[in-house]
Amino acid sequence: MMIENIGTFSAPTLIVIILIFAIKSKINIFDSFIKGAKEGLECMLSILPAIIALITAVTMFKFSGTLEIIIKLLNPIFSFLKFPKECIPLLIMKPISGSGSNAILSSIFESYGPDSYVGKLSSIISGSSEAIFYIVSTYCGAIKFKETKNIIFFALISFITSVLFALFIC
Amino acid sequence: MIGKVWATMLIASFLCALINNKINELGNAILEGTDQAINIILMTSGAIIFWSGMMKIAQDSGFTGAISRLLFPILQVLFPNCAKKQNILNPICINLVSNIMGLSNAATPSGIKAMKEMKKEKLLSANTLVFLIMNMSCVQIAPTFLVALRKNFGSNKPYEILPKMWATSIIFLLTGILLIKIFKKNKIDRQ
Repeated sequence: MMIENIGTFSAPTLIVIILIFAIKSKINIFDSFIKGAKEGLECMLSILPAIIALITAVTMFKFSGTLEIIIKLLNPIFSFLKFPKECIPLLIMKPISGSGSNAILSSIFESYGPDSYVGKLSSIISGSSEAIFYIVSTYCGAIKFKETKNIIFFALISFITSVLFALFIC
Repeated sequence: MIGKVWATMLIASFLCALINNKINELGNAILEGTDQAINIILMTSGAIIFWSGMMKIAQDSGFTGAISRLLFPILQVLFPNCAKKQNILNPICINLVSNIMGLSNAATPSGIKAMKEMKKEKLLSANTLVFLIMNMSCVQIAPTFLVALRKNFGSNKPYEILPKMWATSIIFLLTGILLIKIFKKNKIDRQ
C-alpha cells in the first residue's frame, strides 16, 4: 500500500517543489508555463503523423490475424518463463520504436484494462526504457560512431534483464 | 529501421488477411486504427501540454540546474576519465536531467552535444556506451504519456505503477553499466 502511494504522491509533490523554486527565483511563472505548454502542443502535433501510421499498422496487424500467428510461434519460450503472451508484441516493439510501442500499449489497455496484471506489466515495461535502436541511430548517427554492435548487444541484455525483473516484482 | 518494420507489418497483415479470408476486417482496421490514433492523441494531449508547461517553469526557475548539481558527484564516478572536463560533463548533466524530467525535446540536442565533445577529446568507446545506456534506461519522474493513457483507459490508480517502473529502469541501467565495466575494461583508450 505504502509503495503504491509514493507513485500517487509523486506528481503533486513535484509540482509544489517546482512552484516553490519558481516563486523564490522570481521568474514570471505564468509566462514560463505558457511557453512550455506551447512547446508541448507542438510536440504532440509533431508526433501525430507517426502515431497515426503506427496505430493503424498495429490495428491491421491485429485484425488480420498476423499477431495471433506470431504469438503462437513464440509462446513456448514465454510460457516457460510464465510471461503473459499478451505482452509479447510490446516486448518486440519496445526496443525499436517509442510510438510503435505506445500503439501496442494502448491496444493492450483497450483489451485487458490498465489495472489488470497484463496492463500493469505492460505499463512497467513500456515506461522503464527508451527505444534502444532509436537512441543508437540518433546519437551514433550524429557523430558517425561506428562501434554500435557492442552497445546494441549490451542494451538488449539489459532490456531482457529489466523485463525479467518487472515480471518478478509485478 | 522503423520504416522497414512498418512496411513489413502492413504487407504481412495483407498476406495474412488474404490467407485467413479476413480482407473485410483489414479494410475496417484501417478506419478503426486512424480513429483510435486521433483519440489517443486527444486523450493524452492535455496532460502532456500541462507537464511541458510545468517543466518549463522548472527549467526557468533553476530547479533543473539544482538537480544537475546533485548529479555531478555520481557522474564523476561513472565517467572517470572525463572527471575534470566540464565541456563534456555539462551537456551530459543537462541531457540526464531533461530525461529524468521527461523533456525529451531538450534531451536530444544536449545528448548529441555530449557525444560530439567526447569525440573531440578522443574519449569515445566505454564513456559513450555508459552514456547511451543512461539514455536508454531513462528514469522518468513523471511519465506523462503513460499516466495519461492509463487514466483514459479507466485506471483507478494511474500513478500506481511508478515505483515499480523506477525500480525496473534502475535495473536496466545497472545491468548495462555492469556489462560495460566487465567487457570493455581493457578497451577504454583504444579509440
